[in-house]
Amino acid sequence: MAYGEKILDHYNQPRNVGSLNRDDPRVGTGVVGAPECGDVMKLQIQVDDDERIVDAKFKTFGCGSAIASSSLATEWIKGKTLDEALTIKNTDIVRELALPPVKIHCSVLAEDAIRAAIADLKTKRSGQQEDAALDAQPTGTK
Amino acid sequence: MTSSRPGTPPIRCTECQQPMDSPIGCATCGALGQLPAGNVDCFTLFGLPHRFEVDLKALHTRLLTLSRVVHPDVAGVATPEKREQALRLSSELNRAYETLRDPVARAEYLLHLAGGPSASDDKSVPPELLSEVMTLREEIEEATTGGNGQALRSLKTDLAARRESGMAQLAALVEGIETPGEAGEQGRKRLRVALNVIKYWSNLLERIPAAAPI
Repeated sequence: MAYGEKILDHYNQPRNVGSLNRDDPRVGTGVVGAPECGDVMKLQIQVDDDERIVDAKFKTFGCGSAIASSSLATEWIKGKTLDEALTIKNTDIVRELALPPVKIHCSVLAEDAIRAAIADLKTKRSGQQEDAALDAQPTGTK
Repeated sequence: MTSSRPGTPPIRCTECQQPMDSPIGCATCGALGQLPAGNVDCFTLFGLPHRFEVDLKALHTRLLTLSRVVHPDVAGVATPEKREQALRLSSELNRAYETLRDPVARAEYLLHLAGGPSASDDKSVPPELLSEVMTLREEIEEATTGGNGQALRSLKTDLAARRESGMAQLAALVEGIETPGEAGEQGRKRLRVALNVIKYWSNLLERIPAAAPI
């Protein structure tokens, strides 16, 4: 199968490979996988106080298309708000990288990874708000 | 999952009228069978009930018997049409054999017959599994590039054990997939998750170079 130019570019020089600190409250981590092919993808985002994504990193074990899809995904979400990032669809990735039909599941994985990272961040944040709310409560007479 | 030959009344050979164990062909007189259009159920082809437990030795014996009946060089000598039919039956037979002989493929097939989700429909795995898979892939890569044969062998042993323990649960999980209602849906979901996990272990095992340096 002939790979398109953009896939090869992202595959040979993947952008934003690496990890962010999972325990940082401003970092959301999404780990997703495809059981059929065994590919696994970790995508992490870091946001500022306005919920804008200031950094994104990924680590993917999989085929060239999976690596290219996640590399492109990190490039696209940087600078976006969480809501904006959620509007990215796997079909956008398919179009940009000209993925062949058998590799569409790789783009699905990248979209799932973005969603999982955002969901993780939101869960973390709501936990913090609860903690903050608890802290704010009068401590009572104990 | 104990019904015998679901949906198929006992069949008789159209040539010699003897009962046939399989719609593939008649082991008594060697006449070729006629398969209905569309996909043919692998269990029915071997005259087996829809059950997870399969006697592999008996399965192989039956494969040999039926293979002789549908061998194109035997069955195809009469006419080109017979040869064509024999080739089709032979390929169906081999496809069914490959599905039934492997426990994972067999459980996957039973789940499919029960209307359960495929691995791409439902990718669920237990929490933390994917992170674990990720770590193991890193370890395999490091050991491979570093030529660390000992690490690779121990990873292989570890993964094979995980895969085995996953496979040991399949028989019990298949039992629950045809229960009516909500319970059946949960049963199919549980089998799906178990098969997904096994697929990850198998895939990791394939990543370990066969000729790991000693």
